[in-house]
Amino acid sequence: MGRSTLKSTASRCLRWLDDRTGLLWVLRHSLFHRVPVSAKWWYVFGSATMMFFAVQIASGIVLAMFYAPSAAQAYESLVYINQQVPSGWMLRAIHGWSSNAMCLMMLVHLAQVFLHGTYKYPRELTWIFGVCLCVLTLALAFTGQIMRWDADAYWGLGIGAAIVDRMPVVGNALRGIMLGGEQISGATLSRFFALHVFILPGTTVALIGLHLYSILRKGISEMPKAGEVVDPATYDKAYEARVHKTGVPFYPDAARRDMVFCGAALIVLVGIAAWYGPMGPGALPDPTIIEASPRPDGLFLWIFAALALLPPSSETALLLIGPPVGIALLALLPFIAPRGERAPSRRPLSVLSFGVVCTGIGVLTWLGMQSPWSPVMNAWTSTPVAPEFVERRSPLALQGALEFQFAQCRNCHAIGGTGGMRGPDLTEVATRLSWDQLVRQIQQGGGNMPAYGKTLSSAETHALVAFLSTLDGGRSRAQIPGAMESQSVSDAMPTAASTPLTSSSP
Amino acid sequence: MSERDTVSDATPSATASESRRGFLFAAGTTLTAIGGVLVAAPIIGAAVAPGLLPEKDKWLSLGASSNWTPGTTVLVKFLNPGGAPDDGVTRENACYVRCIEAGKFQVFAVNCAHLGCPVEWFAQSRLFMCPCHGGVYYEDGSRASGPPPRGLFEFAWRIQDGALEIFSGRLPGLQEGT
Amino acid sequence: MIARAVPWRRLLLACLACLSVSCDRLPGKPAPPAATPGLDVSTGFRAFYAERCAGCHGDEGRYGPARPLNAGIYLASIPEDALFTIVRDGIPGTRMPGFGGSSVTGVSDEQIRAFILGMKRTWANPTGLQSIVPWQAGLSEASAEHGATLFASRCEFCHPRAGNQTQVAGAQQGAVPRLGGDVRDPFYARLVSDQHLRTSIIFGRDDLHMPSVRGPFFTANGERVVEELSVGEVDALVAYLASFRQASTLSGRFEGGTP
Repeated sequence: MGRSTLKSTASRCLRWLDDRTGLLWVLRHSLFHRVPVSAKWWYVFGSATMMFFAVQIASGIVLAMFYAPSAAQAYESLVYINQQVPSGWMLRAIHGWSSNAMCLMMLVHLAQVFLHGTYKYPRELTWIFGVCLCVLTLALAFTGQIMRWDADAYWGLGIGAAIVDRMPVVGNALRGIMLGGEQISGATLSRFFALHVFILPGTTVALIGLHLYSILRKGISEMPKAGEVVDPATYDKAYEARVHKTGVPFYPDAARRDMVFCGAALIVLVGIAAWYGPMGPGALPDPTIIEASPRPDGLFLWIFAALALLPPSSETALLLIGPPVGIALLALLPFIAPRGERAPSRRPLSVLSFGVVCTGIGVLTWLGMQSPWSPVMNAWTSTPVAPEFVERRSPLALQGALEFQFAQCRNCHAIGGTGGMRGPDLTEVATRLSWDQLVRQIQQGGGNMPAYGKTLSSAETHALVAFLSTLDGGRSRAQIPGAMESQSVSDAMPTAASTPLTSSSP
Repeated sequence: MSERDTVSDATPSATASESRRGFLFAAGTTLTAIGGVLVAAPIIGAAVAPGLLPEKDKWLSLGASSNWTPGTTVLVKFLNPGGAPDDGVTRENACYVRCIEAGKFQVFAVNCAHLGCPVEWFAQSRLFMCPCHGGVYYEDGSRASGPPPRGLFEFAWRIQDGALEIFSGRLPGLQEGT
Repeated sequence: MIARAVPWRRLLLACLACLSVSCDRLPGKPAPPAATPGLDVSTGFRAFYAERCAGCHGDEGRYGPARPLNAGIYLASIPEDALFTIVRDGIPGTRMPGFGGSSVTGVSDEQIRAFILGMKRTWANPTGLQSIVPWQAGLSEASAEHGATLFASRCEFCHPRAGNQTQVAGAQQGAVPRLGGDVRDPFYARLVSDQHLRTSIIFGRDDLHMPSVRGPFFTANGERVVEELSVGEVDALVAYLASFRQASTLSGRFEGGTP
């Protein structure tokens, strides 16, 4: 067969295909559609998000071949994938890190579209589909965390169930539907498996289609220029004229940058996956293992932090109203600000609100990593009292130091920078509180500290305060001439002969 | 096209065919709706019902009531009454049994009243502490500090034939209001 | 075209081969679940100790507010069964919690035995001298008066009465550091058992410069005396120190206790 016959056969086949499918028309209006020449590096993030989604689909399908979505076997199957399946750990690592990358790219894409005012006329629907995709991606990330079926997954479900349960009237029923029963169980995992593997990805694919279709229909926006105002009356015509005149085909002109960025991102992804490996699974999802410190994945740490910091009185309201209102506001943005300037330099309010939201989430995430509000559950047995707080202490003060550990004070209070951060660091507490104030604080609690009056005997309280009184940061009180004399009699350490502290010994 | 032509002619046959088409359309939508509901009912029902079925009587025994020493609080494991072997380790569950005096108990869920994290009992300070957001409870389950809006959830208990039984099986939540 | 494709294909194959071979050597590969070392070997013991004991007994078993366990003589002198009981049940009424028991979170008896073995292997000095004074109280009737005179001539130099706290916490006078602090504080006496006093006298705390029963001691004038206290003398000192427990409800609480 000669080359020309080959060519003609191929072209005949293509023509047949085009006739039956209309492929050429589709390609002309998608792959080769004209985009503004100013669409450059800022426009790569949406493509990157979609590419990571494709990675998720591919790796997810193969993972599903090994993963056992049953509560009795899920954990073991993950260990099996990590240890036995050839390069299975890499598969899990790619799926996990690609999920993070997808969320990151999506958020950057969202930020770019927001800051450039791209959501304005006539791309309202593109934006709304995008906001829906954002919610779906976060839902995929959350349900994916459940697939790990370890302690974090179990208690993450517990937190989710507790939030849903707070809804008035329907909360309880919704929680039942979410858990597939009255407890977190195998039915819950099956439910979240169906969500993570069928419902959410299917919806995401459909919405990506709509998102892309609406992009093609109304065109890719140009880079915003200060002074170029969006006016619905004239925008469409002017845009089309400009794109017709100076626009370039998406493929290959604009796609080059997308390909460069996506390729580099893929290589970085594989590098990170190879270096850091898969995430978990952590501890067994056994609710009888009480020594768990559940933490969500990094993406949700800011919510975890917000839940600790919201005022308890308004927590339920904020929890239930906040997210839907926030998402609705975001989705309705194009109808709130449909026209006008697109350049960030002319939209100070938008830039400001963007900055506030980013800072807020950033700070909350950082706080979530520290979680200073959480007691360190094993600090009382595992965090030593440093030698400098033991040396040169009286035997009574040493018993006080023991009491400090024994009564779990250390879980919330640091000495010398180690220990819990829930309460204040007590390294120099003697410079702030007098003997009597220490006794009162311990016995009555207050300021978010439980009262220990019923727990500690008078001798125990006495020893504890004797120890705390030595924590003066090395600035011995006697080094200040006359300091001891000027204090009231009751402020010094009382002797045992004086009235014992009122408390019931255990 | 030809059909539209016949419609424009106001002949008796045309009225008949119009009413026939109207009937067919009505029948079509009705049948589809009925069929749709018939198909959807088991599908949606199966998905939703497990979470909505009414609670059954689920008293379960934790062992002889004399097993507990007055003045102590201990973690006790049990199997979820509604559980299945497929649940694996999540079939297990735990509660804190506080024996106030012989025959007098308090049974707490391990779930924090804030957002359901597992609280840990510290016998030394006689406190329950939550590792998530720092909720703290006294030994009687009342809130000591932190974000929880109330004290620990309690299970109803009774002594039946010398055994301590609790009414459980449901993940406790704020709406139960024990 | 075809001729050029060959090196590409070879390169691709080589890359794939490299990847699949090196996949198992990448840093991200999760380590196989290793069997945790037993508590009777040093590594296992140390990890367990750091998690559950270091808070009070100090990093590496020294300089904690509780009795230092990194002390060969002490470990060699206390019978294993006594250690076992202490670790499992704690010492009721003191600040030593029990770590064993039937509770869900309790450590099993076998693990506690292994832990004690690991502790002895790690910290017990194999050439550790057996104490001549038995670790538990004898049956002899000890007199607190005898203890008082003995205290004045052997202990008081380092353990003066708490005229004020600064003598302990502040700067020290003289060449000999007087670090001990007041052991005749009634609150202290109420918090500790007789056995605690006895154990402290017999074994001392060399991390905090407290001598063992072998001395050296300092007389009231600050003269150094090297001599070993006898069983009766230890009993007398314990009786003297225990006499500072005033509240009658508490005085009998620790009799027959464990160290």
